[in-house]
This record gives sequence, C-alpha cells and structure tokens, in this order.
Amino acid sequence: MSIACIVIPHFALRVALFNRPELDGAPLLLGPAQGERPIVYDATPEAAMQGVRTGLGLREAVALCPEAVILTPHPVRESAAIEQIVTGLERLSPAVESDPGHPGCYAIDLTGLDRLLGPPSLATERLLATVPALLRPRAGVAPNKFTARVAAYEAAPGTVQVVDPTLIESFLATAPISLLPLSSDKQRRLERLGLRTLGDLAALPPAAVQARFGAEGRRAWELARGNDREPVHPRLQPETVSESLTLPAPATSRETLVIAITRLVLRAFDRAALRNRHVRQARLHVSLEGGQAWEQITTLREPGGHKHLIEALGYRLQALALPGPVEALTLEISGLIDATSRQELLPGFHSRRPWQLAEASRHLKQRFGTSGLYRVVEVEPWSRLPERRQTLIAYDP
Amino acid sequence: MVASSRAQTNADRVRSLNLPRPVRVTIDVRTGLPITLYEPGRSRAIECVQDSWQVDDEWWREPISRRYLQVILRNGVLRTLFHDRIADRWFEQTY
Repeated sequence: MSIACIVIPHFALRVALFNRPELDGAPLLLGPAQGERPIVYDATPEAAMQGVRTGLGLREAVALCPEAVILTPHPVRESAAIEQIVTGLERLSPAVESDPGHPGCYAIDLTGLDRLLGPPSLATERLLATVPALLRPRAGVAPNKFTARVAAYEAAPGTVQVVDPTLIESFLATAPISLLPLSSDKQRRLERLGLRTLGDLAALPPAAVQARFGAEGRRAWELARGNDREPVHPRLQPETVSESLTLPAPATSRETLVIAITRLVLRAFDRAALRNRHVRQARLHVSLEGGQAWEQITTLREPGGHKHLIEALGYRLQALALPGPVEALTLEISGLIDATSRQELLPGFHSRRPWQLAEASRHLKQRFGTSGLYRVVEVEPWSRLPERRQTLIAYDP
Repeated sequence: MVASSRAQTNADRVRSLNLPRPVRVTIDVRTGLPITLYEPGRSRAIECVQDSWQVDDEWWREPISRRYLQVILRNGVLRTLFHDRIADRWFEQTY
C-alpha cells in the first residue's frame, strides 16, 4: 500500500498570496483575527530568518523585522482554497483526506491507481501538479500516512520524497519530534526530557512512554517507529444547499441582516432539494466592506424547518458585533434529512383515576417495600445529549 | 442551625433515563463506519447509515465528542449508535 501526502506549510499565509502575489518571497506574518491577542500566529521562513517566531508579540516582531508584512486570517478564503485543492485531488483519486487540525495537509491513498496514474512517485507528481505552485506544496510517499507526512515536510517545495519501505525506521529517526500529532503541552514535556527527534522517542521502552504520557504517548511511540495502520478517511460528500445575496448597499444594522438572512433561508427552502426536508446546520459567510470576511456556523439542537432556522440565526445575530459594513451573504445549509415530527405530550394527559394508581402504589410498597413506579420529569430539555433531558423520579402520590 | 429532618434518603428515588448502552461493533476500516452490531447471543448486519451528526459539548469541563449514526439493520430495524471519540467506544442511544 502506498500513501501520498501533500503539505503546504504556513497555509494561511500562502493562501493570502492569491490576492497579493507580489508579496511572494517577502517576510510575512500572520496576525490576530478580530478580538484575538496581538501576537504572531505564523511566520514564513523569510521572517523566521530575522528572528521572528510564533507567539512573539506583534510589536517585538515588527522591531525585529521592520519590512515584515502582517496579514490577517481570512477563514472564507482559506476554506475556499481547501475546497479547491481537495476537489482537484479528488479528480485523480477517490480517497483524499484533508486534516482539519492541520490546514494544508492532505493524505491520498494511491492503492489501485497504478494503471491510471503510473507508479507511486509519478502519481504523486501528478497529484502535486494540481496544487497551485504559489502555495509551495511538497509531497511524500510512504507505506503509511504518518511517514508520508514526515517525508512531505522534509521535501523541498514542488518535489516528491519517496521513502523506501525497508528504511522507514531509519528515515524517521532524524525527523523532529514536533511532527508528532501531540498536544503542545505533551510536545513541551517531551522536549524538556531532552527528546528532540523521533529516533530519541522510539529508543525508549514503550511501557515507560505509556506510563508517563498515556495512550496518546503510546500512539506517538508507535508512529515514531513507523507503525501507523490508520487508513486514509475520504470525506463524506454531504448534501448542501447554498444561497447568496449581494446587498444593494453595505448594511450595518442588525435588522437589515435579519431581513437578508430570512430571504436567503426562504429562497433555499423553496428549492426542490429542501422540499419536505429538515436541516441540521447552517454556515453563514459574510463578506465585509474592505475585503474582510466573517463566518459563523449554527447547529440546531434538533433538525428543523425554515422557521426554526430563521429563529436560530436571528438569535445568534443578537450578540454579534460585526467589524464592518456587510456587502454580501452566503448561506450554506447542510445536514439535510427528511422532515421529522416529534410527539409532544397531549394537554391534560393525566390519569383519570389517580386514586386507583395511588392504591396500587400503596399495595406494591406494602408487598415489596417500594412501588417501582416512576414519573418522567424534564431536567434539561434543551440538552443535546438525550440522557440529560429527562429523568425518572419515584412516583409517590 | 438546621434541625435534622430524620428523613430517610432514598437513592432509588431518582433514576437515569435513556442512558447510552455500550455496544460492540465491527468497523469497516476504509470508511470508519460500523458494519455489524453485536448483541448478546447474536450479531446484526448493518444495512446502511441513514443519517449522521456530530455532538461536541461541554469543552469547559469534561469534553464530550460523539459521532451519532442512525443505522438500519438488515432486518429493517432503526437504531441510533454513537462513537464516543474521547473514550473511543461505541454506544447505543435510546430515546
């Protein structure tokens, strides 16, 4: 089995170059999103060469590298880029996995593609060619996902690094420990123990690693030795309905937004794909004046129709402070299911002969010490966890 | 000072309802979806997944991350299963 992995380091910064390609090669810093701390969230190698590193305050970073260009995250543009890349890769292979924790990291299962794309190295070159060169993608090929990913990070931009299946352990031995999928806290603890490379970790006894770092540490140890049986999980193709609206004039008032959203929802529910159907989630993209963007995902506790969705989106807007006037909105509705109905308790649904029930309860108590009769009581009817919504309380008339 | 009511505390007065029941399933390694549901004394093949959704909650205390699947068994029965992503275990959810 061969798995290819394509990585795009500094993904958010590289994607920003789509709009400003003249900045390619300049030191770039990823600044904070609206309301976040003013620190460096990512830096290109050109900025890192001047001493700028992730986590540094923006003021210090600019003092170290005065010619650095600070870019802000653009989630809409980034998710559009991910979609474009994955769609491009899916034209050549049906099994493409996009790692949600690492934007710009894609695993592709090459099994069965030899006749279509050639041997693994050639197939990966063809896959790599589908990603815009401006993003500086690089690729690795190995028998498992983790090794392929390490190989991709070690490759030069635009090239493919193939790992010999017989030399996996020695190949991984020199790779930095930061490539392991571990929380930052565990990464720091490993570094404090003097473990710098995957070889350092692989040399430790597995029982000791597990005792100190738990199941996560054991998995990291397995990965460091090249044992990764995790298959490529291709994305499920969810059915979505999307509607867009460009406002005649930039809007700042909440009322205008509510009207626009209501129109979008009604328009979406007019489409055949949503007839007699309920929805579970809505993603609202908002394009702001000046090229900025904002995005919010609303998940309904229970699937609902258009009224339910308008109500939920309106409720979310109440506490919203938009950073600028809104120019356009796009609503993407997903989680489509057949319309569901819920049986509510009928009004006045009480025992018509309560004295008989009380008598029966008394007899049961006398005979067994407890009646064993319980009443259903709502505790957290709003909870998304069914077991939290109701409880049984002993029926004691 | 509050006087003791001398009332007997009855732990059996309150009982949980609709608690998830641990189940054993076999998974298709390619899709990550269950293909067989094991119940005491028998196994049921899963015909298809009719609906799936994700519940992520309570990140501020003990995080809950569940992937729910509404499945139809080969005998036509509808069941709701979920994969507890934190504990990596499968449960059946009753309503």
